[in-house]
Amino acid sequence: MPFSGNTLPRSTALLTLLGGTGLSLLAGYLIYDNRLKQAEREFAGYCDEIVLKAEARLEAHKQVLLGGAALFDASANVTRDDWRRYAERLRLDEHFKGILGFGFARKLTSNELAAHEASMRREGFPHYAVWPPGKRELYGAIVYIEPFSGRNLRAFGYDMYSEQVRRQAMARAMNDNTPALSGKVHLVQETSEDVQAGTLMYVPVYRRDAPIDTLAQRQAALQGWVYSPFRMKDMLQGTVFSTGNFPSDTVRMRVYDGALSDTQALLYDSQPGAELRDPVHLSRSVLFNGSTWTLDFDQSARDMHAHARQNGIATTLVGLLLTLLLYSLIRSMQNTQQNARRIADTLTQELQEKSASLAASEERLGFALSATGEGLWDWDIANGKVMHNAKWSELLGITPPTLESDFELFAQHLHEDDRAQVKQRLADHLGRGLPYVSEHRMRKENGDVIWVQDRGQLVKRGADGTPLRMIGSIADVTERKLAQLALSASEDNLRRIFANSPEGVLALSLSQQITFCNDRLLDLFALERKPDGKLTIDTFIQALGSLLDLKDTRALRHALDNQSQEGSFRLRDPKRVIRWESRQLDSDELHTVIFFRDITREVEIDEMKSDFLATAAHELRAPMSSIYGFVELMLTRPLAEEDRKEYLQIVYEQTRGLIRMVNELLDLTRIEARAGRDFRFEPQQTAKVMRKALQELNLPQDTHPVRFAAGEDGMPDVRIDADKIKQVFVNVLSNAWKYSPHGGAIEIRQKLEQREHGDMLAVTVTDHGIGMSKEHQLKAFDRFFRADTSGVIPGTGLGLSLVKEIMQIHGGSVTLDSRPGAGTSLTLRFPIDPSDQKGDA
Amino acid sequence: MDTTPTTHENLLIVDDEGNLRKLLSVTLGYGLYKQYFAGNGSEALKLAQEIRPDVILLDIMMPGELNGLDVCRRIKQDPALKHAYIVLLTALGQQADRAAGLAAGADAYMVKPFSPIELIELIETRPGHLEHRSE
Repeated sequence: MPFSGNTLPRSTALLTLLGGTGLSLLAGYLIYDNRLKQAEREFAGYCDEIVLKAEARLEAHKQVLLGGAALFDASANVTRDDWRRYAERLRLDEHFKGILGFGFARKLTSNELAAHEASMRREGFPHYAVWPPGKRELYGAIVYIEPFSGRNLRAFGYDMYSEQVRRQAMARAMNDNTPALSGKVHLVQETSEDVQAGTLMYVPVYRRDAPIDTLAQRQAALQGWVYSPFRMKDMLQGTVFSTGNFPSDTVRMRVYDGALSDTQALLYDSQPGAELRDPVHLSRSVLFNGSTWTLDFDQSARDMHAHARQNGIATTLVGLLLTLLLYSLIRSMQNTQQNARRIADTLTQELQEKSASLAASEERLGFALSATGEGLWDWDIANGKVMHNAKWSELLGITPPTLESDFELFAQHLHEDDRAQVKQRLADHLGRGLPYVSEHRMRKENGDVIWVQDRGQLVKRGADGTPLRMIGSIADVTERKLAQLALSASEDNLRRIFANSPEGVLALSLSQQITFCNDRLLDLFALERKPDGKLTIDTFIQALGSLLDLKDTRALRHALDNQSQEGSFRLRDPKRVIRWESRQLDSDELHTVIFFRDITREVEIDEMKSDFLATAAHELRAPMSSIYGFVELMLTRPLAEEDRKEYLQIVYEQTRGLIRMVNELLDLTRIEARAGRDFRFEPQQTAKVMRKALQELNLPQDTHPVRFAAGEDGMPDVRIDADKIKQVFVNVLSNAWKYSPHGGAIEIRQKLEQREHGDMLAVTVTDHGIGMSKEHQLKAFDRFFRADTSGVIPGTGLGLSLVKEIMQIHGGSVTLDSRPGAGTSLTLRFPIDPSDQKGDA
Repeated sequence: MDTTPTTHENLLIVDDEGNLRKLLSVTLGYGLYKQYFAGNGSEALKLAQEIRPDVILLDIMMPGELNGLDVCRRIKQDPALKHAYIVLLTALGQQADRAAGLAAGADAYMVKPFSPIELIELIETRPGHLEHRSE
């Protein structure tokens, strides 16, 4: 209390003494009263905090189960191994006390039961059976449970759907597509020691891509439940009740399943059998997706009074002590007014501050010391201050940990991409009452990114409705989130690999539902991907109906039913030949995988080959007919010498033709197969090769004079295999000769042609023979094609095919120009490589 | 050409290859048949309408618009010509080719290379011919 005036009257010391004593007593009483009220508020605060933590626990467990369900959503086939790895990553025993395990129960109808048991036995559990035995409409058999050891082994195969309390929660999860918490149960994992009440949480897993908009669709699409059993005592004592600053020794907490404090539904009692005198009683509800727990708290009123009284007396004593001190000071320093005033000022101020901050600092201390696994925060909204525990700082890598910071610090640590979204969620909660639960990224002090789950609740508003205080918790969920992201990335990779596969892939479940197909499959059959996931193999084949012949449809259906391994069929439009192979896999979800391959090209090549063989056989048969026939006649009939000679001449010519045809066929196939690898290319003059060819043919100069036109020499070298090109020239020249039966000059011209892609040397051979029609020109290079089929002009029909083949290997070309009755011009073009020239060209 | 007055059955030989026509001509040139020749389908059809042959030896794969099967079908559809005994002579030896030949109405089918002696037997023992001879 500040002094006023310039003088200090003598009575001042006495007044101070009296006043100080009075004030100390008053302060003692006020503190007592204040502490009592505060204790009541604190008790209520503890209870609220417990409720928040219990809800946070359940929410965290729910997230774990949703993560498990997401595993099924992301992957068509979650194996026991996948499940074990996921469970191991979660490190249940470390992060989630009280959760006994983490499992998956498969939904089965009575029809599927036998196949399911057989499949599990095949998997390596020869004694597996769904229990309790008996025929029921629906089963929920535990197939995966991790850790797969100890108590949990007792649960393997247990049909949870057979038990009423579990069934209720399982049905709710299935019907409403929601996480559901069961009522109080006796877990099958319990032994005879330390028996505790238990409860189970279920999250439904539906078949991927199946519609789940209506109740019937959800019931049909259900694949099973991801679930966890909890032992209540382990869970609550380990994580909620005995941590933090909760006075667990003086407060009794009881948890009941349901909205009533019914002894039958007692899930947990922190002090079984304890009797409290004059209890102060509080009751709270924990709500979780339609389930309610009632939490009853009792604290002895006597304890609260005694505590408050101690505080009051202590305050009074401190006050009296200070008064006495003040009194003696005033007395001893009455002359030094200035000093006295200053000291008095200071001390009074201290006294005031002490009383004012006492409550706040104690609250803060308790809050900060709560060392749970989660960061806890308490946001003074009006002042932008956040109080939090050390874990909160630790989470964000702030060292040394602070216990109070500005709200801006939190905002700064939000990941830049998520910042706006989190702020919006907070605003929605404060302004519109939407729940605040946010999964987002934050940056630690060192820049590392973590994923957190942050949740909170507005607990105090001002008289005008302004939000004043919000409390909440934040937890690091990076590992789970990264595992989920990694899983979906690898799923994405696989999907892309499958999408780009040259084969169409179709996967079917045991019940012949399509569980997967890649884009290539849809391409192959020109199908659209339908949002309707309920595509059975029957509807798939029906969809193919318009593309398949009825015969093939039946064959495919039949083959699949009989688990045949491969086959092929033809599509009508587009015309394609598809080959398929199927593989059986050892799982219900992925029971059969069928690969479809477009083998149209292979089949075409096959058909071309057999066409070629048929033609070749035909061409060989014709001369053989003459040979065989004439020889038989000569053997069986007496013939005039003259006739005999004539027939032998025919046999001889036909035999020679056969030999030539076989040789040329062999040449052609060899050249084709070797594609020029055995050619010996050398830069040289075509004219030189041409002269060799003429020499070999030795054409009758009187009827068919050969004329080399201008440009015979002085042409650039071209890179050719001399033997092969000589054969080309021989074939071309002999055609010119054969098809001018009435004689006529054969002209050879060489010409340089300038082309965009390099110069060409053109060699043209022109005759004045019978020529060919346009129609024949088009077919002239086909194998076995012959302009003359009368047999008058000998030939195999392979000569020009060979020419074309050899020219192509030289990088050149061959073209025809002809008019019936006027003759034919055939031009061979060779590419000129400037580097082959010796400089004289 | 043999023109013995007692038997003058008309024989039409159709093949695009000269050597084959020659072989067939020699094979059946023992005096019972008056021989006619054609080198392609339309020529054969025209000649058939003119001479109304009793026997036709018909190649299948020939150049031109009509192949042997077309010629066979048309002759068998023509009331004035359908009595002709048609032997298809062809290098096409597949079962399906044979079936196509018989479906076109041919009376017999021989695959090249064929035995001239078997051909003579086939023609001499053909059903209508025997009856004719026995009268």
